[in-house]
Amino acid sequence: MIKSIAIENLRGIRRCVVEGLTDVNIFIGRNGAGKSTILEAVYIASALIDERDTLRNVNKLDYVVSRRSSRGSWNTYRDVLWFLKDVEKNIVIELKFSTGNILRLILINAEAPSAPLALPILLEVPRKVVHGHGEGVAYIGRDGSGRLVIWDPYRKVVEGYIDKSFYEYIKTEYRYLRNVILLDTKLPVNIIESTVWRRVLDKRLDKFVLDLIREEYEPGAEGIGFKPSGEGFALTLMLPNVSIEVDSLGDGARIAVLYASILALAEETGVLIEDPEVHQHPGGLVTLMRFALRLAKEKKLQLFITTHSIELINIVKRLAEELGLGMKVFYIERDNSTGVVDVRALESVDVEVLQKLGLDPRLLHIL
Amino acid sequence: MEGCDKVVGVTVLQLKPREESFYTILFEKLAKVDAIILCEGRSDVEVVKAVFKKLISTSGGLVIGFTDCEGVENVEYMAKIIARLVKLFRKLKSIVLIVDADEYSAEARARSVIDSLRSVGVVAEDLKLHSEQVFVVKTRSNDKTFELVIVISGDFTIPTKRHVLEDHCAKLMNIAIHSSTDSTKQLIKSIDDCLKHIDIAPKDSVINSFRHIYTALQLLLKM
Repeated sequence: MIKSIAIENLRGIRRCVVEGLTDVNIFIGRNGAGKSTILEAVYIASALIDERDTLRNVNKLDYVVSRRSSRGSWNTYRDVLWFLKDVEKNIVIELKFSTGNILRLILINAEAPSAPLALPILLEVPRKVVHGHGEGVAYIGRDGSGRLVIWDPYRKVVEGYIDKSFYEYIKTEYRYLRNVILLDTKLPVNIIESTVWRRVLDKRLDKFVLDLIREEYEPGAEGIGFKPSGEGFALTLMLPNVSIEVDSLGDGARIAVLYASILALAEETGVLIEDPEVHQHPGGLVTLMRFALRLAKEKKLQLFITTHSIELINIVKRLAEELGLGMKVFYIERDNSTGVVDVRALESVDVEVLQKLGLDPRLLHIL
Repeated sequence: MEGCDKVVGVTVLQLKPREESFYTILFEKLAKVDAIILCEGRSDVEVVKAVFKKLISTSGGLVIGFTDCEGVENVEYMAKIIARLVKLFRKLKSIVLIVDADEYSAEARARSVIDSLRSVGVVAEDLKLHSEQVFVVKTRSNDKTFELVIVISGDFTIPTKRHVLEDHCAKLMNIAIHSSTDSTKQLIKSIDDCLKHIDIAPKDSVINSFRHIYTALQLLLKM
């Protein structure tokens, strides 16, 4: 589990530290405060281990550059990721894990791939971790074959290769980051058919997705299957008198099927969920979040959720209490002139106290 | 707009119900709350607000939030609320806690608040008597310092067993009190009567009857 995230120079954030992370972490704050950027920081960090977003079938660095504006790629438009577009300064993402290990990642302004490195992401570690001795830091990158290498950023050469003991050292963090999932509102529904559903069926997790559909969206649903459609097959929901392609369902149901299918496959990793309340009736939100939190408990998932919804906060608070999961709400406030982000951690009881006093946690800026 | 009244440059923000203050904060684009006045119950809030609007005029731009503990008279509960607020606030300058003396002396009641705060991790200096029934305490939680004003309600000159905010209403309304009366709460059927009296009475009478609240509010405006 990630216990803290520290970010420097990423997008609108000059500096931000979020500490005390737990099982379920909700980020709230005004528009432009940096909530989504915090999710993106974890997503970028995961690229060191696996640069490919297998859900979207895209390169993660390309996706994080283009996902807001639908414009450009890492190689053509990456300066938008830098604070004030000042690419001379490194973007730093530091993740502290519950194992005690700290992964400090540096995102550098370089093309990808830039031989011999496959990625412009370096892991900064104490020198003695890789060399067995010495003061100062060393840098670890990934080469084209996916191996971790010791990189000299000044001479721009590979100094050596990381041995097995290091992989053993960061085994837990490696597995966590490799499987990180980003669920945002731009996730295309057709990935269910192309990427996800085969694996869902292999593990017979379709039963759980069907239960979710029945609970809130289509009580009469009898099954989910493929039917021929055009040149391929379309995932279809079978109702008593008709079958409807999943991508023709209402937005709430469609997103629920998509998220539930992906979450069902996740294990021992972080799940980044952006504004899950979008398109969801409060009933749908309860169903979806109950599904997500149950899985979080069973499959050891750590959830990072951004939201503007007080219903979501209260729903997740209650579900977390019922399931015995830790939950915190982080109020994010950015100083527009300096880019420094202030983070206030609200325990479950703080959320309750504020609301009892008549204060909406989303308006904490007035305090 | 309902929920938010301007008293010559001071904005009174009624925090409850939450839905109302929510829209008030958004529509009025309130950027901060400078102080919070925390009372025991809703009727106490109404009385204090009424006194405030009657007596205070200032050219400042302070925003003061009024809220209550839902009738919970437990000092430990109030201390926990204050401790939570202190943990979360950045811009708040002060908190005013208005509680009934009940069966205690004013000082004993104020000390019980301090003891409760200390028990939940708030560092509180010694109680300082500012004026009759009004105490000021410098407190610290994490790296933050702030002033807590503790205002104890109750008229100790009347022969009731319990001393409460309604004592001051009874004084303003000239209600006779017998020694057999347990509390003036029994004599005031509706707080609306008190509010009406506050509205029509001369300012001097209101000051005389609610001197402790008047003093506390003046103190607040100077902070």
